[in-house]
Amino acid sequence: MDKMAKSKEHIALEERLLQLEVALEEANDVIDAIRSGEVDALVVNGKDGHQLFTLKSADHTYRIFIEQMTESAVTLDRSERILYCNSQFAKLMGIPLEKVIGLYFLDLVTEEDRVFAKEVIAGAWDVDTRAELSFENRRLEKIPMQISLKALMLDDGTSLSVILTDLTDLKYSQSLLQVRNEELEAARKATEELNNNLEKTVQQRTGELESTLRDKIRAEEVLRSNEQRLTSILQTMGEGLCILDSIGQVTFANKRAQELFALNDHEITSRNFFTLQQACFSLAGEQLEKHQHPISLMGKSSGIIYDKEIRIINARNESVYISINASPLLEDNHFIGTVMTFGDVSNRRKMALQKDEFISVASHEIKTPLTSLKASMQLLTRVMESGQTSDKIPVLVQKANSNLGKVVHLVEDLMNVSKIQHGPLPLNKAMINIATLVISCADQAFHDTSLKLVLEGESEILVYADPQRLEQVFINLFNNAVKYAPKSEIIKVSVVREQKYVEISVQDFGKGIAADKLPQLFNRYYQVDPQGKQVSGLGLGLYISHEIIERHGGKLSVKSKVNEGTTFSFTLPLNE
Amino acid sequence: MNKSYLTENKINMKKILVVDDNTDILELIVMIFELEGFEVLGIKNGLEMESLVAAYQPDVILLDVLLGNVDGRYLCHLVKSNSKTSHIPVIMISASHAAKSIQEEYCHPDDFVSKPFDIDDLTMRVRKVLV
Repeated sequence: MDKMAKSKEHIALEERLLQLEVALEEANDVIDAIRSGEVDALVVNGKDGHQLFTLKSADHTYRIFIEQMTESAVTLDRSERILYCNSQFAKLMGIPLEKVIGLYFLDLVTEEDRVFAKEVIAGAWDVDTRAELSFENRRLEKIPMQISLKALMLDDGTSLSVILTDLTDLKYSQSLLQVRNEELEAARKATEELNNNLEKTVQQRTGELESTLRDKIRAEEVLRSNEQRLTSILQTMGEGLCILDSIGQVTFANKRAQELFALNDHEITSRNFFTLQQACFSLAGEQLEKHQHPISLMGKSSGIIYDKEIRIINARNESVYISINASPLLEDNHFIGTVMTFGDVSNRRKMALQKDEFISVASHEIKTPLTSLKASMQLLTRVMESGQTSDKIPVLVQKANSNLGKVVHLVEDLMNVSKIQHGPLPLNKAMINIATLVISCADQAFHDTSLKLVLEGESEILVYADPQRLEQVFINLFNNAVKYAPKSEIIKVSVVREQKYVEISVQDFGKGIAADKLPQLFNRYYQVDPQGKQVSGLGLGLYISHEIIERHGGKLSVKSKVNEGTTFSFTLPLNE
Repeated sequence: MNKSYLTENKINMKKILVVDDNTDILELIVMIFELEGFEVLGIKNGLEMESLVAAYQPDVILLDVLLGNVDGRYLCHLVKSNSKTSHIPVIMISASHAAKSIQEEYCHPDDFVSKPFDIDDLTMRVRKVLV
């Protein structure tokens, strides 16, 4: 009945209800779909046919994307209220999503940044802007964010899209990085310092090494140049030098040593000091055995020997006087050899012998007139004591006088030599006529002899000279003629005027002087025939005369031929 | 050639031969011994001595060492080595030599006098060798 009872109306209502229920369900589905973002657009059947409605949320793909992105996204309206935000932002702010909508965006910004944020947002409506801002969430945590602002042109007007990137991690990372960087920097600095120090140390050490090396090189150079210098000194020194080993063999001999012993480098090396010479002799003339040689006498510990003179016969059979100095070479008090230097003292020896000879001659020469003088005086005394007048008295007085004169003359000669040796001979010059002086000197010298003066040349020449010294020269030359050419008969003196000087020659016609003796004639202490001693005198005359003429600016020379005679010539400058 | 300084002949007078090449010294020595009463012969040339010794037969010879042309020591040696003359005393006179060195030489003179001598000493030595 009920079924029967249902009216058509009822059925229609039921159908209508069902339709409505379906439509509701569909609508709910749509809403759900829309809610869940599954619907982009709706096609609505209207009176005007189908109508397409695009849903605001039609960009759901983007919204999903926005929802899922790690950045926060916010949309602001003109009054800076939050129109929309993603859950990321809500979560970050610690505020439920639904409560975020409608909040003033700036309230979420920290107080410090708010003014800046306002400016940024104000500007962003016109220009896309980026900025860094600090936000404060409900948990009062400060969150540094980078915000990227862009104005959006939407259907309902303009809104501002804000994408926020949480910089906390970045900042943390940055700060970590900074710490790391700082640590790194510190480490770098430390390293750099270390490096610097190392470099410095290396530089310093290198410098030290270099300077040590330089010093060493320099020292070596100095050593080498010293050695070279020493060697060249040793090689060029006037003294001979030999270095002997401990058994007396030559390990080094300089050039002079080689010359003195007349042995070359090869011959002299390894030779024993005693066989350096063929023979050696003491000054007294005794041949020396090896144990008597000065080097042997030095011994191994007795120390230095100095100026020990011996005569040697060298490999060339030459007789040489050498003076030996030697010193032992010790190393840690052990005798390792000898250094021996020696000079050729033949000339010194010759001079010494000449001097000895001279002293002996001089004393003999002085004793001779002194003997006569003493004997004359003693005889005079005897004669006078006897009270008798004797014809011997004047003879004795004359002898005393003449011998006294000889003594005085000899002493003067000695003093002249001494003067010459200690400086230039003082001169007392005056204008003198040479011819007059020659005649007066000849009178003195040739008195009591058979010699006669022949004067040639100009007789009126005046010279500016010391008359006493010049007289000494003439007297000496004339006395020599008397002594050495007594049979000459005439002594020719010629006075020749040259342009700037006058030349005076004294010529005898005696036995002459051998050519080999001429060069030594003007030497001190030299006498042509000292052994024979046929003539008296000190042999100083020509030496003194030579010095006197030289002091006057002239020259004394000699020419002689055996058995023909001798000519002494000297010059004196004119026009003083 | 050389002058001889002979005094007057006196019988029994001791004869002295003097040899010296220096005229003054020779004349003075002659004079000294003449005044002493000796007969004196003086010569300058030593080379004449040997023959004169034989001819003159002196009682004493005074002989200079350095005679220029001959060594007095050699002349002394000749006198002393000749048996006819070796008895004649020889006194050598020298200005250069020490007495000892002369006496040690081969010539062996009887005495030696240095120049410059003292005439009293010289005459004393002559008398001494004549005793």
